[in-house]
Amino acid sequence: MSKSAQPGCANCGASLAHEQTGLSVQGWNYVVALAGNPNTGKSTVFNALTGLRQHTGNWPGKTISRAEGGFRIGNDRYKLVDLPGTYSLLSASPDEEVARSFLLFGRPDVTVIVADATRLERNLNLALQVLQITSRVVVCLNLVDEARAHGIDVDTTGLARDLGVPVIPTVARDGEGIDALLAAIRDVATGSLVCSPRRVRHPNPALRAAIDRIAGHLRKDYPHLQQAEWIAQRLLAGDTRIRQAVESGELAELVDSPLRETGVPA
Amino acid sequence: MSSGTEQPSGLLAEVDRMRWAMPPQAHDRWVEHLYAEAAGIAEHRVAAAGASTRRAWERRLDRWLTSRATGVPAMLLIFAGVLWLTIVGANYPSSFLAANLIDRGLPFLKGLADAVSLPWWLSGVLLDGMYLTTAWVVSVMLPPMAIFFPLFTILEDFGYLPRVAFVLDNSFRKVGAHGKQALTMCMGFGCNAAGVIATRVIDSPRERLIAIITNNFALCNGRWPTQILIATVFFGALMPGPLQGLTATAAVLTIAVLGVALMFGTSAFLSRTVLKGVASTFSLELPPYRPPAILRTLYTSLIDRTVFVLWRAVLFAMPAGLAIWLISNIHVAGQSVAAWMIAGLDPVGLLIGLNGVILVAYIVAIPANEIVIPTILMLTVLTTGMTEVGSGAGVIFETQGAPLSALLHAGGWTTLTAACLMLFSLIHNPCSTTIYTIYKETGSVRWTVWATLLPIGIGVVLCAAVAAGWHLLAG
Amino acid sequence: MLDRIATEDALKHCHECEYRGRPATAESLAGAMGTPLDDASALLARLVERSFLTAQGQGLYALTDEGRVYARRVVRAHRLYETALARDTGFPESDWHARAERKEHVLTDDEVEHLSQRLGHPRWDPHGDPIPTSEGDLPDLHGLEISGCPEGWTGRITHVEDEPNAPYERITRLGLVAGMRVRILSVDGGRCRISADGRVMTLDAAMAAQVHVGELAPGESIDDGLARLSDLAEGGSARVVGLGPGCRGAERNRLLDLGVVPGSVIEIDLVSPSGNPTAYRIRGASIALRREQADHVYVHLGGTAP
Repeated sequence: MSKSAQPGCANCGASLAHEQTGLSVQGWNYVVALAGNPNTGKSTVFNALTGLRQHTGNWPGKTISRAEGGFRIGNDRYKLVDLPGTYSLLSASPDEEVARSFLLFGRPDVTVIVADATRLERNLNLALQVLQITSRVVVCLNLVDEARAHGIDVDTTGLARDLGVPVIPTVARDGEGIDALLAAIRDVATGSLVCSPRRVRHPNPALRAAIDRIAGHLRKDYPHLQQAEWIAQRLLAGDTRIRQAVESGELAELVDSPLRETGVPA
Repeated sequence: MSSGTEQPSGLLAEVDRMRWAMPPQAHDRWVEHLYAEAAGIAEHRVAAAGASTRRAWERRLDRWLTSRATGVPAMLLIFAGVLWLTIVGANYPSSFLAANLIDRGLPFLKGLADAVSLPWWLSGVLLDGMYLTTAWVVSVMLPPMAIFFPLFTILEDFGYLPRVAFVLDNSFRKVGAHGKQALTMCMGFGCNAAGVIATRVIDSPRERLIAIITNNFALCNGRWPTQILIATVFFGALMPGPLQGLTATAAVLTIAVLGVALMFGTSAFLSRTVLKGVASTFSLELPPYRPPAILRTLYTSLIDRTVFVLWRAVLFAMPAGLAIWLISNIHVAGQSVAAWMIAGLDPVGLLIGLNGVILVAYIVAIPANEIVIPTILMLTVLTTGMTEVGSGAGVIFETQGAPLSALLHAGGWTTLTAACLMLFSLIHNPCSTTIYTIYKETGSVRWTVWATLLPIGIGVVLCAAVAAGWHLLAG
Repeated sequence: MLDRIATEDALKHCHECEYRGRPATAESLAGAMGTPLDDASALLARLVERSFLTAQGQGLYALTDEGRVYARRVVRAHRLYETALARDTGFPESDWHARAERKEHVLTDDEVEHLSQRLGHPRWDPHGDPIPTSEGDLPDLHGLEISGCPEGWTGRITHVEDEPNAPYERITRLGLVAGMRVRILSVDGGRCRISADGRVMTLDAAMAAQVHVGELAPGESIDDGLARLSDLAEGGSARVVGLGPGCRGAERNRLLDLGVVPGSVIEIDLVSPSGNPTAYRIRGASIALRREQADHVYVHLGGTAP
């Protein structure tokens, strides 16, 4: 089961020295968040990446507190944070609040969205919401074996084009595709792959105009703010957490300046 | 940032102005739009041979497991099987552990202590107190949990448990609870602390609190031995030979069923009173069946639940052992502290059909229910002076059958005492591990206090009523 | 404090009378507050003294500008608090009014402002009543009693009066809330039979007196094919049209997040032994919903896959 120092993989053609470091997550270079619907095998992906044996219940909403683990690719240490499985990021429920706050204020270097290949439509709903918040995303299309068994075939290349982020098919239970996933995580983390995420706009023209107006103000104050539209929309929806962030000036910390130093332990 | 601090407040003022003019149902439209986008993408990129993503055998199994005719019997059969495997299977490792940790381990350690000439009080505190209590808890608790939790986890991984919640939800809905409470309660039969943690699967705030507060009414693994022992000695003995086992079993099952009834009753009470205003939603996804990974399940459930619960229990059992040793060995004004406490609590105990010994045992046993019986025995020996029963020297010892019956009768026990003890064992405050877990899960002193005081309040009232009724009929 | 409560309740009553175009008198106040007539008269006199009211002669009283501002501040607190109860708590609908009655007298202006901001400055409370703005603006009343409408008339419920409580509770049990579209099927004295968003129900005279309706918006019509998800039979399918206005707060958001959005095609997956809950296939997943929830989901039956 151990994957330490595995030789290169056929999928990506790159040689990956991947080492699972379990809980020793001190001195990491990158933070990776793991998001996804309940019941997509998210915890299995977490275990496949870190080697930790987190319990993976066939239950919606099993992980409520954040589980953390670590792994290493080459010389870089990655901290992996497992977010609660949620159907959406829009509600005020505690687990959605945790996931939403971490994606925004935790500023993960990469967010891996675990999606169930057998129920893609439902999972894309969450993926589209994550893409509103962060552009550094890798979609892990899990359970492709189950999908195949059901006669479902997903065009991952086309999906990647639609979403503007890499899409990696996996069977996390058997470790299939994990190397390709690691390669994609590394590429996005190091910036050698820049994503152009699909950003869905609100269908109401008046509200779109209002969002643009607020986002314009935000960009004037914070020129490199990545998710100005999303923050504007949350403000208009009355999100008190985001409002506090604006009041306290916390928003300034989110600015992803081009000179941001990656790989500095906090 | 450059424009100073007044800028954000100007921005928020603008947001506030705009919020007056928000189009109606903007949120609904947004979610609808996201789903439409997702559907659009999926339609382009997914080629599906079959329309249904659920295979024929899954559908058949689902119908069978959730239908009116077969759903409930199948469920009862599966849970009876799990309980049977746990109880029968746990006997062997339990006696093995007891033989090694207590019968062999203790004399060995005592020999060791003598060899290094440890002072008597130190070896008393360490071995007779802390070691013996912990060894007892480990040998009683570990085997059933190491069997029960993995079995439960396999059912969970397979995807069966949400079906149980689905089948039973209607009964729970009527008392304002969630169908998933059936499962957290089942976990509670193993360990209430694990049951409380399991309530995380209930994502509605009100229903989750109800499940947490009422979990204690599931008779946990630590209390089954008390029930079985007392039922055998007092109720089984009332009947002629062949009926003894049956009567004792019936008495224990009555208590367990009473626990379930109380769980429903208090759930209804809580949802209509103190928890009325807490927000409530319902959702229950029936996931696809997935083959459980048996080996990984054994490993993870051992790590996740068994070891975790055991570790907590040991952590709490050690200081309890220390306390038991101290109160029976520290003498004040010619009597041990334990004797003073027993004498002081006796009148209160008798009022609720119990006695001082039992109350002291329950105070000492707040950390772990499984040490109640040994503590009672030890304290009874202390008060009756019948030191020939059991080994006497240690804090905890085992004894069975006729000598036990004689000992308890000498301690003034009657059938009423036995009945009230069985009731009180079911309906009293959760053990300290569970109380701590409740606090950690709810983050609220208020609900922790509710969960602690509600059962003991009910228990005291119920025992007092039984005792009063008994005296009325007998006298 | 008692004095403050009496003052505010009296001003609220006078405001209600003014708003509905009814005369405010010592008798009407005594009736509304359940106090002896003498006390009501004395209270009104005190309010005149404090220049919240002016006596108009013939026992009639009218609000001064100052009195109107005060009254609307109380009404605003009441209606905002009810909105918060509806959205964020689990209290049943029949409890909202009594709780808001107590709270309206203790909330400070700042707290009310904060509440309004948190709720996103709602303009209507859950009963369909307009919430006065912080400046005290309140749109004019435009509703008529449902029993006054002719057979076959169509419109929208604009307001469900929560006092007296007994008929109101009967109304909530029927699931009738402001925002629903109705067609009058028959009117017989005060009693009327209506169809409200696909459900036929009968209101007795007392209930009908508490239900107010208004015209549909231009271009809006009654959807006669509307049904509820709970009407779906096994083997059939339904296409979601929307969620009913009685589905609020966390409950509404949860249903939306689960994929119960307009356009979703839903089939029955499994029925539990008691028939409640039912598991529905919604966008690829099997989701169990209780009947109360399925009642809030408006659908067209027999919809086909997209």
